[in-house]
Amino acid sequence: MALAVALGNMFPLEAQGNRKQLRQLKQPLGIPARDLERFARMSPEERQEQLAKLPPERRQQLERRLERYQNLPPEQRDQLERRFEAFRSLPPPRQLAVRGELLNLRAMTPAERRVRLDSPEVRQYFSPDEQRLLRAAMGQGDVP
Amino acid sequence: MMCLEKDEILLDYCAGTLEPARAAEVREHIEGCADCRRLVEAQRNVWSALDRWTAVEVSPDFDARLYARIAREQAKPAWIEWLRPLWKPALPLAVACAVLVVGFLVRTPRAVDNSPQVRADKIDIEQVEKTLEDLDMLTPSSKL
Repeated sequence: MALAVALGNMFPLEAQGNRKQLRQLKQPLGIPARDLERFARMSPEERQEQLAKLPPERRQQLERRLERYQNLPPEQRDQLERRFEAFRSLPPPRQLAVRGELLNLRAMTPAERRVRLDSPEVRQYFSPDEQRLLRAAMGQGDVP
Repeated sequence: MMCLEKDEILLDYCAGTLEPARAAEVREHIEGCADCRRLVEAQRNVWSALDRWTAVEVSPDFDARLYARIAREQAKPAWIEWLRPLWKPALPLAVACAVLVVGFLVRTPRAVDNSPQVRADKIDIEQVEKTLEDLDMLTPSSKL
């Protein structure tokens, strides 16, 4: 809840008259990332102070990503939260492996992704849960 | 293939200590393996950072000052040496007291900060960035 409200403060949608988006924002996000929640709850001045620690390009990317999550519909947000929890519950070496595979998959066409996800390499190297996570992050099904 | 088990070979490869034939084999493997490629890139970054690093120079009279200090220590009055054994029993007692104090502090409930604003120094902006990156990576068709 706090994150959603804070995000609302960051992007003054009321001033833009976008009440539908504002209602979405005030619903709980519940992402289990303490620093992100804390960041979102900061005052604009504190937030700027933190963002100033990053080079301009990374700062802009961070702001774009925040805005992207601000605009996610609640259902997609819930799904994303489940995927995030599943990902963060993996041991660090497996997180590294999944991250690498996701980067590979992202560079592929949809057809290539399907082939890759069904390939013996992926089946051998990734556990069923990890494979489910890979597919979910590629928009094929979701984690339970 | 469990590539993460090959860390040692990859480190040797980065250090350039592998036999040419083995190095060629590893190079070929890396081209098709994102995990290993990432590890090699990370290792190369480390080498590159080390190449750029210059050791802090010590002052020209460092040795002379060090030896002078050692000499001063050795020249302390004998009565200081006689007192030293008397302090020895006090050390375990001091450690025990310190442990008790730390234990007391850890177990004492602290006031909870319920204020809506969070101090800027409590977050790590790079963690925020990392969380958003992970969330983005797990979002299907994410382009950010």
